[in-house]
Amino acid sequence: MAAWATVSSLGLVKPWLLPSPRAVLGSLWDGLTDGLGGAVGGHPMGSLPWGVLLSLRRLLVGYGISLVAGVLLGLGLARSRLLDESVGTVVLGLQALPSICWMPLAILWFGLSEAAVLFVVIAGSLLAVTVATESGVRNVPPLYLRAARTLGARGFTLYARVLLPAALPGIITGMKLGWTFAWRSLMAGELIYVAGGIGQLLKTGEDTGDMARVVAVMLVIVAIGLVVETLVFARIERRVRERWGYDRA
Amino acid sequence: MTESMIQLQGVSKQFTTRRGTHHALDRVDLDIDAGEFICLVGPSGCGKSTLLNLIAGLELPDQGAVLVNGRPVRGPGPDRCVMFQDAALFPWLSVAKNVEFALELAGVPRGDWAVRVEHHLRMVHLWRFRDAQVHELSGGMRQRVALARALAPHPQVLLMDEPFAALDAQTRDVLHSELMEVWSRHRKTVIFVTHNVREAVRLGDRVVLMATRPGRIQAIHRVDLARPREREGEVAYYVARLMKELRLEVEKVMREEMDDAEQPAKGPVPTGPRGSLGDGI
Repeated sequence: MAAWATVSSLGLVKPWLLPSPRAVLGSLWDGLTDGLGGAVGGHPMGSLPWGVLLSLRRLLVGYGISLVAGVLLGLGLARSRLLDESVGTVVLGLQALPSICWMPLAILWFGLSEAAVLFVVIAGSLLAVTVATESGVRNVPPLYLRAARTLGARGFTLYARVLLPAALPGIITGMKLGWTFAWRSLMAGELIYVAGGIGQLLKTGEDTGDMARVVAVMLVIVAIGLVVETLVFARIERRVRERWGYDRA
Repeated sequence: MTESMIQLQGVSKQFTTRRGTHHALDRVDLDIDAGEFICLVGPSGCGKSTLLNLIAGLELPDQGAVLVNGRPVRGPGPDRCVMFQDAALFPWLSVAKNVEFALELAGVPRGDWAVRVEHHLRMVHLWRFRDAQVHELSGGMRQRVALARALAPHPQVLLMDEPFAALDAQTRDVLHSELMEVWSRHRKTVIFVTHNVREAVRLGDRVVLMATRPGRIQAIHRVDLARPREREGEVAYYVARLMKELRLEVEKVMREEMDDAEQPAKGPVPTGPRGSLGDGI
């Protein structure tokens, strides 16, 4: 921060290449307040809070679907040889594909709509969750399952009460990965497909040459990432590590 | 009662590995009465754990029948609880919740859980640790929780697969006493697998000696010693007798496990003062 402030106040870098902290903060403030006064640039959702809310909603819906489907799919891949041999390779192959590559197809299938963006978010995060869940389940000590079976656990109970909790450390890795991938896919989608959201704010900044705005939006993205990481994932992870006794080593 | 509680009739079990077919058990017959404490002893590869798994229902026989109360075993169930060498407690549950989970799985009515959990945790002297996490306990304490978890659903049969093998000698002695106390009070049928002959003689009504390649029963010895078996002299006498019988079998295993053609040194297999065949065999 200090280096940034010194560099820009000494005029070493042209402001259109790297805006000063003051300009960025001003832009941030404008973004936070302009929505209260009305529309910006003729766009009703041009303000920062609206953009953030819209993006977060897409993110949560897409990520939520990915999480549920990914955990189920990962569980199936780890436990069913049939599923593994049929879908397993496809999953591995598709995982190498950046989700934004789906955008042309998604637009063809769903039109320029919410569904297309959601599809890209899901395509980006689903497989990360799947693969991590699968390896988490595969790494569950078989002894837990044997013990549970001799105690009378079967079928759904065995999966929901023993296998899933036992695989939790792996699943959490998947949740974190999935979250990052969902976030990246969403930004990519919003940069191309312009209809509100933070990605579009960034894009407008770029189009109007307003680098202060671009950096301000980038800061917001980083801030949201940090907040989610510390408030959600760090907490869950800490609890699991305590339970499993990983922190004692 | 004319029929034994647990009957193994001509039971065979094979495992196919990359190195060929391994006859873990070859036409084994064994009858075990209700309330009996049976110890299975033998060198590695004699199929003693396989036999236990068959009774537990974790594996099914290739030939023959495993009957419990006259009915063939088709799968695991809470009437036959198993204790493993590792306590296999669930780390995501506290000590008390581990025991409670066993009650839930066994279909015990919810209203009885609290009483049963408390009773069994007090029995193994761990009530004070009811809210502890699994990793906070020592190895011996974990095995005691595992014992409480196994007994809480009131199984008819308790199957123990080298449950104390990973513990130090002092802890093992304490757990022997606790197990004997529990057993004499509740008279469960216990099948106890061990590679430690002294442990088998201290605990068992009968000691089943097993032989390897193919896995089979070599001899069954009744241990006519009054309990508690604290007198080392009497125990040692039985241990020496059983060790003599086992020696040839153990040498056979050693010969096959050594990768060169060299013969092991002549003379008796070195047996420790505690009558152990050594750890990890």
